Amino acid sequence: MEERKWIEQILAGDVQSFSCLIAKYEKMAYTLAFRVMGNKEEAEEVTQDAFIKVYNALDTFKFESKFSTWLYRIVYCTALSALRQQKIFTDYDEARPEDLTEKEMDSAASLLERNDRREIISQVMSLLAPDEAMLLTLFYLEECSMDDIHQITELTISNIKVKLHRGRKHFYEKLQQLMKTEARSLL
Amino acid sequence: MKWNEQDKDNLTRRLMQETVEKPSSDLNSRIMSMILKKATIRKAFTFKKPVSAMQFFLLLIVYVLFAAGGLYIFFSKPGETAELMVFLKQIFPIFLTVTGGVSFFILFGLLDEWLQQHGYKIPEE
Repeated sequence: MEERKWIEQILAGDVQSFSCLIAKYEKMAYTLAFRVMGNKEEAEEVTQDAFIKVYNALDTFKFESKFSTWLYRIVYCTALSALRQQKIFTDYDEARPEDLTEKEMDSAASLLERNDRREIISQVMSLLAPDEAMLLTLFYLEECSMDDIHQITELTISNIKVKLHRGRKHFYEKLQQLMKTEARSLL
Repeated sequence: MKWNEQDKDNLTRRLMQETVEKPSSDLNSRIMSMILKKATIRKAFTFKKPVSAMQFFLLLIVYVLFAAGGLYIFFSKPGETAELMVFLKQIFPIFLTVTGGVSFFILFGLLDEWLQQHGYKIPEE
């Protein structure tokens, strides 16, 4: 609970303690902004604006939720207003996509051994729709719970599950396509 | 290999490990310099203690006494007050311009801060 200590110090007038909060969360906040915005410059601007909003509204944070959840919600809303959009999530659709195939899973598993895995996955993420990329990042990378994601995005839990399922399917499809293209180019 | 739901989640998690994007190394310092600048401005515009009713009443009495003193001088020495009036007429436009400028600066400063706090952004062209 080091954030509680930092927040109390900031509210008591020690502005420098805010840099500890930035240091801890800047990468994840930037990653989320990058998933929505799709480019570095705009993502940095969104991250910067979000942290300034957090600083201005810090006295309204009552520790009723996790600080990270509150911060990511602000990053998400700031990214939306930068895009001048009300939402990035498409309308509710209950239909689940077909499940992942053995082939998709096996070829993805082989990627674990490769050194350039990080670059390939980043490339795949950039090919996904912003809503799917953001949900996958929150759930698999930041390990947010369904409830945290619900607080950040205001989607219902069942909607999050369907969208995660669909996002994961698209992730493996794109990954397989990318690996096939790569193999072809090597031949 | 047979993949169950748990395995699929685990594989996705392992694939996505370390795929966090890295912002510029100076992002933290850029944000901090903006915040420190803001904090300084806020300090300059913030009264440390709000004025209490008693202080307000005392201030009012002081102003009334000053006004009464001015009026007394004005009516007791009519010759000198005519000169004073000419002088006041000369400096009045400068006084009006300066006070107007300062008032607008404070007004727009506060308006800008309020808009930023409420998430408004001036649209870019």
